[in-house]
Amino acid sequence: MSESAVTGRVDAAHWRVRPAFGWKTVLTVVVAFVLLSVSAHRIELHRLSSQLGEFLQASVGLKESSQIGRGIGSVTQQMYPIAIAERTPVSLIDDFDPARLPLFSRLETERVEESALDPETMQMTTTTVEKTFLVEPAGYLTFTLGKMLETVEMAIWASLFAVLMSLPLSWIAARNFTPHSALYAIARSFISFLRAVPELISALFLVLAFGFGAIAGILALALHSVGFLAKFFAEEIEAADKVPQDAVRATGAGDFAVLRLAVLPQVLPSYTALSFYILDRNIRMGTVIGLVGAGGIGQELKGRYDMFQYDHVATILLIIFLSVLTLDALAAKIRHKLI
Amino acid sequence: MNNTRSCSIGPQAVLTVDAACKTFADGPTVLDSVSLRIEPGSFCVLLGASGSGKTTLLRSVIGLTPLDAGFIDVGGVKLSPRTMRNLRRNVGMVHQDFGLSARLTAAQNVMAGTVPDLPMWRVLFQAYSKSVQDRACGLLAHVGLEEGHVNRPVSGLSGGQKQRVGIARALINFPKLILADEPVASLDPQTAQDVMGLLRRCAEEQGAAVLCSLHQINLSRTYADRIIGLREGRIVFDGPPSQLSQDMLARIFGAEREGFSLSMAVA
Ligand SMILES: Nc1ncnc2c1ncn2[C@@H]1O[C@H](COP(=O)(O)OP(=O)(O)OP(=O)(O)O)[C@@H](O)[C@H]1O
Ligand SMILES: [Mg+2]
Repeated sequence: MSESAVTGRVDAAHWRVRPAFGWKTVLTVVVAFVLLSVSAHRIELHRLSSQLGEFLQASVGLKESSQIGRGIGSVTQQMYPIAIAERTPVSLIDDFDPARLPLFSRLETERVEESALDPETMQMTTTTVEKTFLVEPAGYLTFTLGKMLETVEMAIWASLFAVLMSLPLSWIAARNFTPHSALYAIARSFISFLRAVPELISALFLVLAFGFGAIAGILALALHSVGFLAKFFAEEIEAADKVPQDAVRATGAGDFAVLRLAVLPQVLPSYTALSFYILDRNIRMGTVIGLVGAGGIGQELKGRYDMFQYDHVATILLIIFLSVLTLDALAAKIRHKLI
Repeated sequence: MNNTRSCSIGPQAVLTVDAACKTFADGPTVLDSVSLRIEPGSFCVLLGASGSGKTTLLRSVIGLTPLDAGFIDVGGVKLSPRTMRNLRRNVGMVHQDFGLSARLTAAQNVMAGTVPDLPMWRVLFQAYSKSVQDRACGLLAHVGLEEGHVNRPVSGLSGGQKQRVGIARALINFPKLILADEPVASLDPQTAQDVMGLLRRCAEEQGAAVLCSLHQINLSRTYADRIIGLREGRIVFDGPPSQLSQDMLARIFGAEREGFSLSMAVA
């Protein structure tokens, strides 16, 4: 090439530059469009636009009500005010000692009208009884925060296990470093399997195996995270720049040293970013898998939702939302420091 | 310079390349039956146009580019998958594009040259022994890297500084043979002179032979005691710098490049 640059002897008149888009790209776009249209028809996507239109008309007063508005409205009305205090009937507390109340809490006595069936007259009678409640002003808030903390701890443990498992697994699952092609195939299938099982489903079964609570949740999150992390870790290894690898190999080093000294330094930033993403995801997923009894704030959410206690639901949702925001900001700071 | 020695065929060559052939998939033939012997302590320069196969030849010596045919022998050990790692320990390579791990420090990159002999945990934690650390510092000082750069990631070093780190790494394992692939590319003329002098001096001190590809004809004349001309994968010249005439340059770089070669040689 330099020869021609110097002498100018090669005639470039017939050279052609390859266009950025070919017929293959156009075909792909057309096929994708057709498939999407078919799919939209199948899942009745048109209802989305008609319902949204109805809702918009109702909100500007053109229509009396809309399905979306009715559905949302009844719930949101009950959500306010959100539940912050905890009121427990004293009669429900074991070994209640009025002399030693928890911090900041007080006792409230109320007259409550109780209806009961009189067994003799077979008629409903209403009597007024005095009931004492233990009121903790921020009781429910602190309780929910504790549940959120449990979810965050679950997510941290799950992510930690996932990273530790994914590091060796990604070595086997990287085409250019795998000890054996059969191991490669096995590792890749295993990883795909883990990724294919959603945590909500594995949690259902893990709850059966390990009982309700955080352990099942941690395992469910970790297994799915391994399926995700190991795949991307392996792909980072495969895509790493070969030049430093060749240089370490040229000294006579084996695979392990090449991975440690030439690959790991290259992939470390993306490994960190992926691990933080997985932590972030596990915190959000951790709130969800509680719905099937796998511990954390989700379990609390499910209970309150089933009992129609939407003021408590509102507190839970608010705490989840604020925690995810806070942790997101925190993670961004840590990532900035590490990378 | 000892010109007769470099052309003689002695019994104990440090490197023997015999009928090396290489053709990349759907590419032209890059090495076409290349044979050469390099004596201990000699400083050979590989000249050739871009794409003539210099990098391919150097990489094939330590098995980074596997050959299609022919064999390689380093210090009496024939290159094979079984002997490869042991053979590589006796060879130091300065790579064309440095081959440094950007996020490791200069010292860590140099010490990485000793890993084949280390236990796994030392590699994992990059826990090098005091003697290796001292040797790395000594070499870095020797190649002229300032102390302030020793513990900086090499991504923050200039091209010339990276080149020095690459040379120090090639030297750390007491190689018998140093392969240097365009070690002065992208360096200014003064630094290029320094680096070539350094390579020559280090090789002499350690008694290592050097096979070094270059594009600078004037530098080759100054530092080489033997020049090997490669053209389209074939050796077209092999002799001392004094025999490198204009005709020979034309043979190496192509007749139409005579004027160009001349200007390069004068530069
Ligand atoms: N990995 C590869 N796959 C395919 N072709 C290759 C590969 N490496 C080198 N080549 C081809 O082999 C030929 C010789 O390349 P080589 O790098 O050995 O040349 P060189 O003499 O070192 O050139 P330069 O002076 O530019 O470094 C070139 O035509 C190049 O395209
Ligand atoms: Mg080259």
